[in-house]
Amino acid sequence: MMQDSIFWRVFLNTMNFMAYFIPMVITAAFLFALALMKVRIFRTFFTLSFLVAYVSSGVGYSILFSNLFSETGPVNNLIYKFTGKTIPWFSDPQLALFSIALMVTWKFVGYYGLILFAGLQAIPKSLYEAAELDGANNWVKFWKITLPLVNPALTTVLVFAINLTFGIFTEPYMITGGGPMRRTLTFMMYMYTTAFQRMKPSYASTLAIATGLMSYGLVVLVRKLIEREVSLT
Amino acid sequence: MRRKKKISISLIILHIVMGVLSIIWIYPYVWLLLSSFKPSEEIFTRTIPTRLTIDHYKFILIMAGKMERPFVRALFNSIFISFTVTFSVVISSAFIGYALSRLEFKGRNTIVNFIIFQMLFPGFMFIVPLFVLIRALGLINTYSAVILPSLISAWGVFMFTQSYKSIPRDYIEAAKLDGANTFWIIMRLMMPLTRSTASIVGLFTFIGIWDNFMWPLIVIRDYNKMPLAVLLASFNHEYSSYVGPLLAASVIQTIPMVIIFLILRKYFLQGISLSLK
Repeated sequence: MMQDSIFWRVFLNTMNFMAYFIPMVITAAFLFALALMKVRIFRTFFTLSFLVAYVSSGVGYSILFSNLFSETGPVNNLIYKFTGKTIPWFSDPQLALFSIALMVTWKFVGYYGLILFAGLQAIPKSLYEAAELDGANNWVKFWKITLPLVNPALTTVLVFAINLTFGIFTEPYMITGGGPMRRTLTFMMYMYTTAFQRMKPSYASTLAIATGLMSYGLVVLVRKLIEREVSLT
Repeated sequence: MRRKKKISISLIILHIVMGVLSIIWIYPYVWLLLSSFKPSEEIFTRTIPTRLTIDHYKFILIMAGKMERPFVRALFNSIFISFTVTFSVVISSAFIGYALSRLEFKGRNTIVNFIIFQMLFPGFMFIVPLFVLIRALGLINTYSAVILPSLISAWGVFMFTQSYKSIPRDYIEAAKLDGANTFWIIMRLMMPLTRSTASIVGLFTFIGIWDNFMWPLIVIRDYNKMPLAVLLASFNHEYSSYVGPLLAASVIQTIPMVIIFLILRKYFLQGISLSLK
């Protein structure tokens, strides 16, 4: 496995995907949760319209997005009107992975955002009032109160996002088939083709175990690095 | 006074931004739904169609059947598989959860710990061994191959075990004094008291199994037994230029979940905040 060049390609793809997906989805979900805290009216409407993406079925939404972002699709039409160019969302080797990260973000922002929102709501208002009396500005309040206390929810979301990255299959299978130039080949796709098209089940099992260990190791690492005990006493 | 005004302006801007973003987030659905009713030549050229047509639905439901891609059957396959699995998961989780939270027997804690422990392993690690097992049982290309591995859910058992803990033991004692057996206690006492847990487990199981793609793709090769997701994927693979019918089929696959979600959103939101604990 260590000498398998495709394995290392897949490994790099996964790291690359994570580098796009995790900062994007965490930032977006956090902003969504913060905005939801401030919103006075239409809160249910905002929540539902973001969350409805989460129940979209994998195959259906892959077909939808491959058409939406296709060469002649509405997104490219809009871009063409303003810039005179179109963007090869799924056919450019580097861009394809980013586009998949983008559509997965579309799907999961509402879900992750609500988990963070639940975490934000659990923070007692009195803490902010006390900080205001001490003359703290919004920036200080965010870094000293919000971020440390929302830590359990943030860890949950990060763990979900890592597991999702290692388990992604439907989107690249449906849209790019692993291409162009194997740049969107994921561990799950590699496992699937190895076991059921190239008929090497034992190698596929090795891959499965290696993938499992990697995602587990990463989750443990993340928890070590960022998880803090939170006590409100 | 000035301060108050400033806050209200930024609040208004926030509402506008959130409103625009919400519309962007719903837009793919709107485009999908609208495009599935557009005539083929207008799908990519016009935002607002000149006329609406149901040709694509006719094609996918009637013509595709003659091309040996039976979408109506696939829809019923999906419904059948999803309902069977959901029913089984809710009932089995309710019973196993009762045993693990309310009955005293040797090795109970070991079993509880084992169930939690095995939830740590991602599902993909078991795909190859599971496939070997299903093939050894001679179940490839049957509904059982899709249904059997999902009949019991560790997550469902865990959810029921947690929610039963909040039910006072007195209730069970009282029911026992009235001569109720364990079966009766679970069906008539525990299940109604944990109705929201049952709804959460049922809802998430149903959506999960409806969306399940990789496993049925592996074990089902017969077009007549494919669930909707797999048939749609293979149709997309072979006839990717039939954009209209593909979008219509995507509507058929996705919109039922959206409707279920909108109806049961209360339980859905409860499920999300429960998964935090």
